[in-house]
Amino acid sequence: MTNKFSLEQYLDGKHPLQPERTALPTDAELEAAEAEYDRIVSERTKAKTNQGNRARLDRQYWAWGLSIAAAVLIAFLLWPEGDSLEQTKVETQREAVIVQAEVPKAEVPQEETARHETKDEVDALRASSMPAKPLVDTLNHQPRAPLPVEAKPTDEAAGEVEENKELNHMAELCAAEREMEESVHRRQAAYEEKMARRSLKLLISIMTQEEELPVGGVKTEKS
Amino acid sequence: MAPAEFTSVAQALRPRLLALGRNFFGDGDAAEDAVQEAMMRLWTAWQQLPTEADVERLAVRLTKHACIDIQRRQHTDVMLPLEATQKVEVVSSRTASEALHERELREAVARAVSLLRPSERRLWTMFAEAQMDTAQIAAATGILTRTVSATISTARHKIMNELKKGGFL
Repeated sequence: MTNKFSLEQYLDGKHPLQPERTALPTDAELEAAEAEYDRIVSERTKAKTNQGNRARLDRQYWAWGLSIAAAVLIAFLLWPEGDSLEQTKVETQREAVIVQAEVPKAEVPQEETARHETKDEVDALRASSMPAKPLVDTLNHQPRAPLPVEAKPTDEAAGEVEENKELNHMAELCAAEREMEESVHRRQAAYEEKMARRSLKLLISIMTQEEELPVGGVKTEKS
Repeated sequence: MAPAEFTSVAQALRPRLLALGRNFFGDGDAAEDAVQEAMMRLWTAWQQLPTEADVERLAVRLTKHACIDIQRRQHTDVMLPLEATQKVEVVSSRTASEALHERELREAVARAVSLLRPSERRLWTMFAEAQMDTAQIAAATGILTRTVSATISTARHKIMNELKKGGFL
Protein backbone atom coordinates (compact mmCIF):
# COMPACT_ATOMS: atom_id res chain seq x y z
CA MET A 1 0.00 0.00 0.00
CA THR A 2 1.35 3.44 -0.99
CA ASN A 3 0.51 5.20 2.35
CA LYS A 4 2.10 2.53 4.53
CA PHE A 5 5.20 2.53 2.40
CA SER A 6 5.53 6.30 2.70
CA LEU A 7 5.09 6.09 6.42
CA GLU A 8 7.82 3.47 6.69
CA GLN A 9 10.14 5.69 4.68
CA TYR A 10 9.28 8.63 6.91
CA LEU A 11 9.98 6.63 10.07
CA ASP A 12 13.33 5.56 8.58
CA GLY A 13 14.22 9.17 7.90
CA LYS A 14 14.08 8.86 4.14
CA HIS A 15 10.94 10.78 3.28
CA PRO A 16 10.30 14.22 4.78
CA LEU A 17 6.81 15.10 5.87
CA GLN A 18 7.34 18.85 5.38
CA PRO A 19 10.09 19.45 2.79
CA GLU A 20 9.50 23.23 2.93
CA ARG A 21 10.98 23.26 6.43
CA THR A 22 14.41 22.57 5.02
CA ALA A 23 14.03 24.80 1.96
CA LEU A 24 16.50 27.64 1.82
CA PRO A 25 14.87 31.12 2.05
CA THR A 26 15.55 33.61 -0.73
CA ASP A 27 18.14 36.37 -0.29
CA ALA A 28 15.41 38.97 0.06
CA GLU A 29 13.74 36.99 2.83
CA LEU A 30 17.06 36.56 4.62
CA GLU A 31 17.84 40.28 4.30
CA ALA A 32 14.42 41.28 5.64
CA ALA A 33 14.62 38.81 8.52
CA GLU A 34 18.14 39.95 9.42
CA ALA A 35 17.10 43.62 9.41
CA GLU A 36 14.09 42.87 11.60
CA TYR A 37 16.19 40.78 13.98
CA ASP A 38 18.75 43.58 14.35
CA ARG A 39 16.00 46.17 14.85
CA ILE A 40 14.24 44.16 17.54
CA VAL A 41 17.48 43.36 19.38
CA SER A 42 18.66 46.99 19.29
CA GLU A 43 15.26 48.19 20.55
CA ARG A 44 15.41 45.73 23.43
CA THR A 45 18.96 46.77 24.23
CA LYS A 46 17.96 50.43 24.19
CA ALA A 47 14.98 49.73 26.42
CA LYS A 48 17.19 47.81 28.84
CA THR A 49 19.74 50.64 28.90
CA ASN A 50 17.01 53.21 29.50
CA GLN A 51 15.62 51.07 32.28
CA GLY A 52 19.07 50.80 33.82
CA ASN A 53 19.62 54.55 33.57
CA ARG A 54 16.24 55.25 35.09
CA ALA A 55 16.99 52.90 37.96
CA ARG A 56 20.33 54.63 38.47
CA LEU A 57 18.67 58.07 38.48
CA ASP A 58 16.04 56.82 40.92
CA ARG A 59 18.79 55.56 43.19
CA GLN A 60 20.55 58.91 42.89
CA TYR A 61 17.39 60.86 43.76
CA TRP A 62 16.74 58.58 46.68
CA ALA A 63 20.29 59.10 47.92
CA TRP A 64 19.87 62.86 47.60
CA GLY A 65 16.61 62.80 49.47
CA LEU A 66 17.99 60.55 52.16
CA SER A 67 21.10 62.65 52.63
CA ILE A 68 19.06 65.84 52.91
CA ALA A 69 16.69 64.15 55.33
CA ALA A 70 19.67 62.88 57.34
CA ALA A 71 21.17 66.37 57.46
CA VAL A 72 17.86 67.86 58.59
CA LEU A 73 17.47 65.13 61.18
CA ILE A 74 20.97 65.73 62.52
CA ALA A 75 20.30 69.45 62.73
CA PHE A 76 16.96 68.82 64.43
CA LEU A 77 18.44 66.40 66.94
CA LEU A 78 21.58 68.30 67.84
CA TRP A 79 20.90 72.03 67.55
CA PRO A 80 17.69 72.49 69.49
CA GLU A 81 19.02 70.31 72.28
CA GLY A 82 22.17 72.40 72.72
CA ASP A 83 20.18 75.60 72.37
CA SER A 84 17.64 74.68 75.00
CA LEU A 85 20.40 73.56 77.34
CA GLU A 86 22.20 76.85 77.04
CA GLN A 87 18.93 78.76 77.32
CA THR A 88 18.10 76.90 80.49
CA LYS A 89 21.49 77.73 81.94
CA VAL A 90 21.12 81.40 81.08
CA GLU A 91 17.61 81.56 82.48
CA THR A 92 18.71 79.87 85.69
CA GLN A 93 21.55 82.32 86.09
CA ARG A 94 19.26 85.26 85.35
CA GLU A 95 16.74 84.11 87.90
CA ALA A 96 19.51 83.76 90.44
CA VAL A 97 20.63 87.30 89.73
CA ILE A 98 17.10 88.65 90.02
CA VAL A 99 16.59 86.85 93.29
CA GLN A 100 19.81 88.35 94.59
CA ALA A 101 18.90 91.79 93.26
CA GLU A 102 15.58 91.97 95.13
CA VAL A 103 15.91 94.13 98.19
CA PRO A 104 13.89 92.71 101.04
CA LYS A 105 11.90 95.20 102.98
CA ALA A 106 13.16 93.77 106.23
CA GLU A 107 16.67 94.91 105.39
CA VAL A 108 15.74 98.60 105.51
CA PRO A 109 17.79 100.10 108.34
CA GLN A 110 16.14 100.82 111.69
CA GLU A 111 17.28 104.43 111.70
CA GLU A 112 15.59 105.06 108.38
CA THR A 113 12.33 103.52 109.62
CA ALA A 114 12.54 105.58 112.74
CA ARG A 115 13.07 108.81 110.89
CA HIS A 116 10.23 108.22 108.41
CA GLU A 117 7.53 107.18 110.80
CA THR A 118 5.02 105.55 108.46
CA LYS A 119 5.51 102.53 106.23
CA ASP A 120 4.22 104.47 103.28
CA GLU A 121 6.91 107.00 103.69
CA VAL A 122 9.53 104.25 103.75
CA ASP A 123 8.12 102.75 100.58
CA ALA A 124 8.00 106.12 98.88
CA LEU A 125 11.61 106.73 99.85
CA ARG A 126 12.63 103.35 98.42
CA ALA A 127 10.67 104.00 95.26
CA SER A 128 12.35 107.37 94.80
CA SER A 129 15.78 105.80 95.17
CA MET A 130 14.94 102.96 92.71
CA PRO A 131 15.06 103.59 88.96
CA ALA A 132 11.83 103.78 86.98
CA LYS A 133 12.65 100.79 84.79
CA PRO A 134 13.08 97.31 86.18
CA LEU A 135 16.41 97.16 87.89
CA VAL A 136 17.83 94.18 86.05
CA ASP A 137 16.89 95.57 82.64
CA THR A 138 18.40 98.90 83.39
CA LEU A 139 21.57 97.31 84.62
CA ASN A 140 21.69 95.03 81.64
CA HIS A 141 21.50 97.80 79.12
CA GLN A 142 23.15 100.74 80.85
CA PRO A 143 26.36 99.91 82.58
CA ARG A 144 26.77 102.46 85.28
CA ALA A 145 29.73 103.68 87.19
CA PRO A 146 30.15 102.35 90.71
CA LEU A 147 28.34 104.52 93.23
CA PRO A 148 30.38 106.23 95.96
CA VAL A 149 30.43 103.99 99.00
CA GLU A 150 32.26 106.08 101.51
CA ALA A 151 31.54 109.54 100.19
CA LYS A 152 29.29 110.50 103.11
CA PRO A 153 30.59 109.27 106.45
CA THR A 154 27.62 110.64 108.43
CA ASP A 155 24.94 108.42 110.02
CA GLU A 156 22.36 109.90 107.69
CA ALA A 157 24.18 108.59 104.67
CA ALA A 158 24.87 105.16 106.14
CA GLY A 159 21.72 103.65 104.69
CA GLU A 160 22.40 105.16 101.32
CA VAL A 161 25.94 103.77 101.39
CA GLU A 162 24.62 100.32 102.17
CA GLU A 163 22.16 100.59 99.34
CA ASN A 164 24.86 101.73 96.98
CA LYS A 165 26.92 98.75 97.96
CA GLU A 166 24.07 96.47 97.04
CA LEU A 167 23.50 98.24 93.76
CA ASN A 168 27.17 97.94 92.88
CA HIS A 169 27.06 94.29 93.69
CA MET A 170 24.03 93.86 91.47
CA ALA A 171 25.70 95.74 88.64
CA GLU A 172 28.68 93.46 88.86
CA LEU A 173 26.45 90.43 88.80
CA CYS A 174 24.58 91.76 85.77
CA ALA A 175 27.83 92.47 83.95
CA ALA A 176 29.00 88.95 84.69
CA GLU A 177 25.72 87.59 83.45
CA ARG A 178 25.96 89.64 80.27
CA GLU A 179 29.46 88.42 79.69
CA MET A 180 28.39 84.83 80.25
CA GLU A 181 25.49 85.24 77.83
CA GLU A 182 27.78 86.63 75.19
CA SER A 183 30.23 83.77 75.62
CA VAL A 184 27.37 81.28 75.38
CA HIS A 185 26.15 82.94 72.19
CA ARG A 186 29.65 82.88 70.75
CA ARG A 187 30.06 79.20 71.55
CA GLN A 188 26.62 78.42 70.18
CA ALA A 189 27.36 80.23 66.92
CA ALA A 190 30.67 78.40 66.58
CA TYR A 191 28.93 75.08 67.22
CA GLU A 192 26.23 75.82 64.66
CA GLU A 193 28.82 76.73 62.07
CA LYS A 194 30.76 73.54 62.78
CA MET A 195 27.64 71.38 62.42
CA ALA A 196 26.66 73.12 59.20
CA ARG A 197 30.12 72.44 57.77
CA ARG A 198 29.93 68.81 58.83
CA SER A 199 26.49 68.37 57.22
CA LEU A 200 27.73 70.01 54.02
CA LYS A 201 30.75 67.69 53.95
CA LEU A 202 28.49 64.70 54.48
CA LEU A 203 26.22 65.79 51.64
CA ILE A 204 29.15 66.36 49.29
CA SER A 205 30.65 62.96 50.10
CA ILE A 206 27.32 61.18 49.46
CA MET A 207 26.84 63.04 46.18
CA THR A 208 30.38 62.20 45.09
CA GLN A 209 29.86 58.52 45.86
CA GLU A 210 26.64 58.51 43.83
CA GLU A 211 28.31 60.12 40.82
CA GLU A 212 31.04 57.49 40.88
CA LEU A 213 28.54 54.61 40.49
CA PRO A 214 29.19 52.59 37.29
CA VAL A 215 26.70 52.88 34.45
CA GLY A 216 25.17 49.51 33.48
CA GLY A 217 25.21 48.42 29.87
CA VAL A 218 24.13 45.49 27.82
CA LYS A 219 26.45 43.81 25.42
CA THR A 220 25.10 43.31 21.96
CA GLU A 221 26.12 40.58 19.63
CA LYS A 222 27.29 41.78 16.26
CA SER A 223 26.82 39.55 13.33
CA MET B 1 31.64 21.67 0.68
CA ALA B 2 32.06 17.99 1.52
CA PRO B 3 29.38 16.38 3.73
CA ALA B 4 32.08 15.04 6.07
CA GLU B 5 33.04 18.60 7.02
CA PHE B 6 29.57 19.43 8.28
CA THR B 7 30.10 17.82 11.69
CA SER B 8 33.16 19.87 12.63
CA VAL B 9 31.79 23.12 11.17
CA ALA B 10 28.43 22.66 12.89
CA GLN B 11 30.16 21.94 16.19
CA ALA B 12 32.20 25.14 15.88
CA LEU B 13 29.24 27.27 14.78
CA ARG B 14 26.73 26.08 17.36
CA PRO B 15 27.77 28.34 20.30
CA ARG B 16 27.55 31.46 18.17
CA LEU B 17 24.19 30.53 16.68
CA LEU B 18 22.83 29.62 20.10
CA ALA B 19 24.02 32.98 21.44
CA LEU B 20 22.07 34.70 18.66
CA GLY B 21 18.98 32.71 19.56
CA ARG B 22 19.34 33.44 23.27
CA ASN B 23 19.96 37.10 22.56
CA PHE B 24 16.58 37.16 20.85
CA PHE B 25 14.49 34.79 22.98
CA GLY B 26 16.44 34.56 26.22
CA ASP B 27 17.12 31.12 27.66
CA GLY B 28 14.69 28.42 26.62
CA ASP B 29 13.56 26.04 23.93
CA ALA B 30 12.86 28.73 21.34
CA ALA B 31 16.58 29.52 20.99
CA GLU B 32 17.37 25.81 20.53
CA ASP B 33 14.55 25.54 17.99
CA ALA B 34 16.02 28.44 16.02
CA VAL B 35 19.45 26.79 15.94
CA GLN B 36 17.87 23.50 14.85
CA GLU B 37 15.99 25.17 11.98
CA ALA B 38 19.13 26.98 10.87
CA MET B 39 21.22 23.80 11.01
CA MET B 40 18.66 21.86 8.99
CA ARG B 41 18.61 24.47 6.26
CA LEU B 42 22.38 24.79 6.37
CA TRP B 43 22.66 21.05 5.84
CA THR B 44 20.25 21.23 2.91
CA ALA B 45 22.38 23.92 1.26
CA TRP B 46 25.67 22.39 2.35
CA GLN B 47 26.91 20.95 -0.93
CA GLN B 48 26.29 24.20 -2.80
CA LEU B 49 28.37 26.29 -0.40
CA PRO B 50 31.87 27.09 -1.68
CA THR B 51 33.85 28.19 1.43
CA GLU B 52 33.65 28.06 5.21
CA ALA B 53 33.28 31.84 5.41
CA ASP B 54 30.12 31.57 3.33
CA VAL B 55 28.90 28.85 5.68
CA GLU B 56 29.30 31.04 8.74
CA ARG B 57 27.62 34.04 7.13
CA LEU B 58 24.74 31.91 5.89
CA ALA B 59 24.35 30.16 9.24
CA VAL B 60 24.05 33.50 11.06
CA ARG B 61 21.46 34.76 8.58
CA LEU B 62 19.53 31.51 8.73
CA THR B 63 19.46 31.67 12.53
CA LYS B 64 18.15 35.23 12.51
CA HIS B 65 15.55 34.22 9.94
CA ALA B 66 14.54 31.27 12.11
CA CYS B 67 14.24 33.57 15.16
CA ILE B 68 11.87 35.90 13.33
CA ASP B 69 9.95 32.95 11.89
CA ILE B 70 9.48 31.32 15.29
CA GLN B 71 8.46 34.60 16.88
CA ARG B 72 5.81 35.17 14.23
CA ARG B 73 4.51 31.65 14.73
CA GLN B 74 4.36 32.21 18.49
CA HIS B 75 2.43 35.46 18.04
CA THR B 76 -0.02 34.16 15.47
CA ASP B 77 -0.16 30.69 17.08
CA VAL B 78 -0.53 29.05 13.68
CA MET B 79 1.03 25.69 12.83
CA LEU B 80 3.24 25.32 9.79
CA PRO B 81 1.10 24.53 6.77
CA LEU B 82 1.15 20.88 5.98
CA GLU B 83 2.48 19.90 2.65
CA ALA B 84 -0.33 17.43 2.45
CA THR B 85 -2.98 20.00 1.51
CA GLN B 86 -0.97 21.12 -1.49
CA LYS B 87 0.17 17.69 -2.48
CA VAL B 88 -3.31 16.25 -2.49
CA GLU B 89 -4.36 18.89 -5.00
CA VAL B 90 -1.26 18.38 -7.17
CA VAL B 91 -1.57 14.61 -7.45
CA SER B 92 -4.47 14.28 -9.77
CA SER B 93 -3.98 10.67 -10.77
CA ARG B 94 -4.93 9.30 -7.37
CA THR B 95 -8.42 8.63 -6.40
CA ALA B 96 -10.17 10.95 -3.98
CA SER B 97 -10.25 8.34 -1.20
CA GLU B 98 -6.50 7.67 -1.46
CA ALA B 99 -5.73 11.37 -1.37
CA LEU B 100 -7.97 11.86 1.62
CA HIS B 101 -6.37 8.92 3.43
CA GLU B 102 -2.87 10.25 2.74
CA ARG B 103 -3.85 13.66 4.00
CA GLU B 104 -5.26 12.18 7.19
CA LEU B 105 -2.11 10.15 7.68
CA ARG B 106 0.14 13.17 7.25
CA GLU B 107 -1.95 15.15 9.70
CA ALA B 108 -1.80 12.30 12.19
CA VAL B 109 1.99 12.09 11.85
CA ALA B 110 2.31 15.84 12.29
CA ARG B 111 0.12 15.67 15.39
CA ALA B 112 2.16 12.77 16.80
CA VAL B 113 5.39 14.74 16.24
CA SER B 114 3.90 17.80 17.95
CA LEU B 115 3.16 15.65 21.01
CA LEU B 116 6.86 14.82 21.47
CA ARG B 117 8.92 16.60 24.07
CA PRO B 118 10.80 19.64 22.65
CA SER B 119 14.21 17.95 22.75
CA GLU B 120 12.82 14.79 21.12
CA ARG B 121 10.98 16.82 18.51
CA ARG B 122 14.12 18.75 17.59
CA LEU B 123 16.20 15.61 17.08
CA TRP B 124 13.42 13.76 15.27
CA THR B 125 12.80 16.68 12.91
CA MET B 126 16.50 16.85 12.02
CA PHE B 127 16.48 13.12 11.43
CA ALA B 128 13.20 12.81 9.54
CA GLU B 129 12.91 16.12 7.71
CA ALA B 130 16.56 17.01 6.96
CA GLN B 131 17.78 13.38 6.74
CA MET B 132 20.78 14.17 8.92
CA ASP B 133 22.67 11.26 10.49
CA THR B 134 23.22 10.93 14.22
CA ALA B 135 26.78 12.34 14.14
CA GLN B 136 25.59 15.44 12.32
CA ILE B 137 22.67 15.86 14.69
CA ALA B 138 25.00 15.43 17.66
CA ALA B 139 27.30 18.14 16.28
CA ALA B 140 24.40 20.49 15.56
CA THR B 141 22.76 20.05 18.95
CA GLY B 142 25.75 19.51 21.21
CA ILE B 143 24.34 16.17 22.42
CA LEU B 144 26.26 12.87 22.58
CA THR B 145 25.80 10.60 19.58
CA ARG B 146 24.45 7.67 21.59
CA THR B 147 21.97 9.97 23.32
CA VAL B 148 20.84 11.20 19.92
CA SER B 149 20.30 7.61 18.76
CA ALA B 150 18.36 6.71 21.88
CA THR B 151 16.22 9.85 21.68
CA ILE B 152 15.40 9.28 18.01
CA SER B 153 14.44 5.70 18.77
CA THR B 154 12.18 6.82 21.60
CA ALA B 155 10.58 9.45 19.38
CA ARG B 156 9.92 6.87 16.67
CA HIS B 157 8.20 4.59 19.19
CA LYS B 158 6.03 7.41 20.46
CA ILE B 159 5.00 8.39 16.95
CA MET B 160 4.14 4.80 16.07
CA ASN B 161 2.10 4.44 19.25
CA GLU B 162 0.15 7.59 18.42
CA LEU B 163 -0.48 6.33 14.90
CA LYS B 164 -1.64 2.97 16.30
CA LYS B 165 -4.05 4.79 18.56
CA GLY B 166 -5.39 6.62 15.50
CA GLY B 167 -5.76 3.35 13.58
CA PHE B 168 -3.12 4.16 10.96
CA LEU B 169 -0.89 1.21 11.84
